[in-house]
Amino acid sequence: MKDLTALELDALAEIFNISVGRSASVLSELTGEAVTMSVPMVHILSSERVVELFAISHERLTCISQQFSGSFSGAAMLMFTESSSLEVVRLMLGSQVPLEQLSEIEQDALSEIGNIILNACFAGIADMLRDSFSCELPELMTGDIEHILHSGGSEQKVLFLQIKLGLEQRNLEGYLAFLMGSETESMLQQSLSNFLSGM
Amino acid sequence: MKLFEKTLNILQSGVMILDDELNIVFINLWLQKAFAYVDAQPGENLLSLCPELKGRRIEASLRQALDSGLPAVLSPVLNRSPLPLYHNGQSQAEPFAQMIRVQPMREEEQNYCMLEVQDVSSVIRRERLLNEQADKLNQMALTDELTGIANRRHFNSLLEKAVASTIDSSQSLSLIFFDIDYFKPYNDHLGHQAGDHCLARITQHLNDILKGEGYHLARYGGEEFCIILPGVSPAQATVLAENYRQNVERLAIRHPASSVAKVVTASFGVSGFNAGKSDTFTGLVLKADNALYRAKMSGRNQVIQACLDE
Repeated sequence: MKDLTALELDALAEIFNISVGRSASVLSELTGEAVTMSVPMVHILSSERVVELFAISHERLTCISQQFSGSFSGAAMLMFTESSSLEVVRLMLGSQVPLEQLSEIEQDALSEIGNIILNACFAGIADMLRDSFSCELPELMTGDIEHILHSGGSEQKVLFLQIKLGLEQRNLEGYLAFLMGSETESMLQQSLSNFLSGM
Repeated sequence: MKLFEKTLNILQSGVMILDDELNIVFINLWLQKAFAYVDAQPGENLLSLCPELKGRRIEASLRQALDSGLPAVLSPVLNRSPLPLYHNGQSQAEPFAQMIRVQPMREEEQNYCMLEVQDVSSVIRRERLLNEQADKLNQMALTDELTGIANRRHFNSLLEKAVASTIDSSQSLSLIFFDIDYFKPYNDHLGHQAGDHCLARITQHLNDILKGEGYHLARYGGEEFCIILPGVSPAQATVLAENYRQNVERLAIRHPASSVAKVVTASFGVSGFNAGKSDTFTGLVLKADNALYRAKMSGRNQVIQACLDE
């Protein structure tokens, strides 16, 4: 399996940029706050490499994940460090909860925020693939990166995106990870090259 | 199949199935009842029944489920009441808070979506109550009961924050400690109630002035108080302290047992934070306390500034 070319990665970044941009306007409308989002870079990493990336900070993560299946299957995960996720809730919902814990309804709100962002990305990919796939409801979990990645299955390649989130002059960072089996990865590569040659 | 339909009809949450034109294919009894002013029957179109849903997130989520097969969660914090649902058809009431899940379904080459609706108004109410109680407890833990100003615990955290931001910004920071002169004899002569009243009057008066200036007044303990002055040099703080001293004197609270005046007075100590000279939180407090002690020793009812190199 050859790696994705720089051109293919750029094309993916463009697709995700449009997708997260759409979800940013949905979130702005819902929360009444100016929300901006962008995806500066897309990487394909092994799951060990993703674990290494997060191992430095030792911070727990909050993750909203949705399983998807069809011609393209795996798990999509939106991750924030625990402190960033509390900032997101604080800034988007204006809630003044003590920073240690999210209440049940705030967890639901965070699930919805993740659902909006993930759905926009799914729709972007589906457009590119000219295909649809079925998707499950979002699930929220917290834990370290190993625990979170493991919940999506093992021995996988990860399509890894950094998301820059702008909220009330604050810059927060989130991560989007698509855990894919090797078949899914080659499918993605095939559709990308079709997509690029069709342009 | 009859049994499944019966089950859905006794379910204590809402279930509705819509086809790809948003026509109601199935709606359970619970949800039908909750649509108090709308006769939501199978065969009816949801948008014709509730035109106000057009262009809202609920419509977008339903379309996304039908067209792209993507599920959605509508949480009560971000969408309080997406559907016009009411408790027992109460006409004056607000629609109740809802948690809605939308899931795509496909059957015989047709796209459908299923809406699951929960009434979460009691969860929201409980949460609000808990938040209010937490706020109240927080407030109580940080407030001095007698005077209503910040207590020592609050003072410690305020000063810690002020010290941290002073180190970051390398601006000035000053601290004033003051103490009511001959307070024990005042209490002995006029009783504890009068003593309490005296403290409350002085702190209320000074707090009104300080609030306008954006500074914090706190009760350190007994008849000892402190003022945190971020961005103020010790020299400026000494001028301010003199002003506060005069304000206490001008309140003209009669003091029958003071040997420095006929009215209640106070002694003031001022210290400044030496950023960059390995000064500390404790150092700042000790310097102010020491300056206050010297003000007492030098005859009370005056302001003393701690030496800069202390």
